[in-house]
Parts: sequence; C-alpha cells; structure tokens
Amino acid sequence: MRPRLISCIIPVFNGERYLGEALKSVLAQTYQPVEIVVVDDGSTDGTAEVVERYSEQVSYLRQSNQGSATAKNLGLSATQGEFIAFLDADDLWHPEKLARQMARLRERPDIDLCFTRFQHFWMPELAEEAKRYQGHPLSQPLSAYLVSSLLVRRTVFETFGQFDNGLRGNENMIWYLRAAERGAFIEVVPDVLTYRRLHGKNITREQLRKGEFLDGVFFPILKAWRDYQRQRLDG
Amino acid sequence: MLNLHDCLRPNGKEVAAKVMDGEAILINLSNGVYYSMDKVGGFVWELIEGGCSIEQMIVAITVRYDVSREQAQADVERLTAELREGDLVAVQTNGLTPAKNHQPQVQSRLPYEAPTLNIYRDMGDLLALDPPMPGLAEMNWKEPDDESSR
Repeated sequence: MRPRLISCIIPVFNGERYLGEALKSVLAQTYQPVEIVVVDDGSTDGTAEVVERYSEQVSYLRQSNQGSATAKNLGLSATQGEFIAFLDADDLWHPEKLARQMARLRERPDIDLCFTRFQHFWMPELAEEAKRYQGHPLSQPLSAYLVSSLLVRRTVFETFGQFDNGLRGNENMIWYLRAAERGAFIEVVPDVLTYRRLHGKNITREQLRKGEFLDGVFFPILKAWRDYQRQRLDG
Repeated sequence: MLNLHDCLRPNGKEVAAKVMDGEAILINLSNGVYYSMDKVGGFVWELIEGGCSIEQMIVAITVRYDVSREQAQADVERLTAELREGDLVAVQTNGLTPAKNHQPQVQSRLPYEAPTLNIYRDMGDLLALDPPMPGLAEMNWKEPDDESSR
C-alpha cells in the first residue's frame, strides 16, 4: 500500500537564523512522502534566501505580515496531504517523528490530534537561564500540546474549523481547546520526538517585553479553557 | 458593610482582568487562582472598572435588567463582599453625595440572573498542556495550595 502523503507546513517570520536546521530535520525524516511548504509571513530578513537553498524539495509561499494563524491556514489551502504536520521555524524534529506518529495513527484511527512529548533546549545566549532551569520540570520532557509536534488528519480541519485568522501566539491552544470542546480526541505519543528551541527572539519573549502577553495572548486561552471545561462538565 | 457611595476599584497590584464576550475573567497573579463572572456578573465588573459607586451599580443593574432594586442591592452587596474576600477589589471610600440618577428610557429590560463569582484552581492543568515558556516572569505564580478543588 502506498504511504499516505504528509504535508509539513512551516509558518515563519524573520526566521533566517534557525530555519535551515528546521528544514534539514524535516528532510531527514524516515517517513516519506512528505511535501514541505514554508509560509513566509512577510519576513524582512533572509528567510526567502534560506528556503531558496532547498527549493527542489521545499515550496515557498509568501503573504504580507498577518500572523502565524493566517500563515498556517494559507498552508492548508496550498497543500494536498491527507495528513498535516506543523513545525515552527526555530524547532526541530527527531528523524523518526513522523514515522512513529503515523504508526500510532494506524493503530488508533480514532485519534484526531496526535502530539509527541517534547524537550526544551536553550541557545548559548540564554545559558544563564538554562542553568537556572536545571532540574526544573520545564527542562524535562513535557507531555504538552506543542504545535511543532502536531500531526493531524486534514479532515480534522473540516470538522473542527481552521485557526482563527489574525491571532498571534494563541491561535494554536485556542484551536486545540475548541476542537476538544467539540469532541476531538487528542493523544500525546510518549517519545520525545520534537525539540523546542529557546532563544532571545522567541515571539513570546517579544510579547512579554511589550506587555502584550497576558492581555493579548493568555486571557483568550484561559477563556477557551473555561469554555472547554464547561462543555466537559455540563455535557 | 460598604456605604452606598463607596466605590470599588480592581486590585491592580495582584489581579489581572479582562472581559471577553460579556464574561469577566480575573487572575490572582500571586497564586494562579482565577475567577469568572458572566452575564450580570460581567456587567458588574465593567461597572467596577468604570469606577461606579455601589449605588450607581444598583441603579445601572435595575435599568438594564428586569429586577427589583431590593434584589439588585442584595446581590451587589453579596458579590462585592466575595470580591473583597478574594482580594480582587479595593474599596475607595467616597463620602460624596451622588448626583440624582437620571433613568434613561429603555425598550425592555433583560432577564435577570443573580451574579455568581466562580472560583477555579485548575490553572495547573492548563499550564500542563500549555506550559509557560521558561523565563516568563509574568507567569511566575506558585501552584495553589489547595488541590482539592480540582
């Protein structure tokens, strides 16, 4: 039986520094076929030039800066795969990530959203922070909902809707919670197959510096969480 | 007991709050306990943010909702006591005589439900699924002591 196509969607804004490594980790996947699309959210750095180096295997789409949610939705409309995987431009995959998730989805076709455990890793400019977090739960493998670890059937978007266009930084969690509220079955594969890079330019850090995080990012997540809990408890 | 001319203010030092779709969500940043009030409660929170006195709140509620003054007053007094107990608001003693309230004509008043302050201690469950980025000082709250409410 022919392996089913996975579309890997990589939204990026000014990601020239680490995008090449992210792409290499997708190209190194033991599972094939994978179509790869980078959706450039209006970058002003050398992001396009990085993608150009991989132009034989990676497609490139560009939009004016509208946020990661819109970029992901554009990626959805431009791809063909029966399965969708997302990767943030500064994160990495283990070479067997897609293969092990596909095996799990074959075992359990009722799983709608499949995540993997992930591991934080710190860049040298954050060495002091990394030291402070030694032994802390956030430096250990985490069974959390991270978009870079997500593998999902395309039909899930038809059933539960797409990301809210225009949201920046919270569209992922809000989408998971709304899907869960509507009955989506979510599982986290226990192997650490995704690596989340911590560096000075993480978008969340930028939002914090500007005082935007709590009001603009976290409160809508908390509301979506309450809506999900209400549905779960009230039926 | 609060005087009718007293005003309440959100406790800006430790509490973050936002009203979304008429629901007020408040977070005590020191311990991660959070609260919600919707419908009449969400409206009351907006009045508190607007610096209304207790009397002005009662009047505003009776104008907007189909409820007697007595019921509105009792519920406002109960709710504000709960908000004070949770350190979510601070009292600003006014002492001034309020201006006569002009009641605008309204077409019809909305159905009334007694406002409720809901308390939640499951922030840890949410953060387990959506862990804060290491180094996020803004979310440096400790886990609530009381785990029994989960």
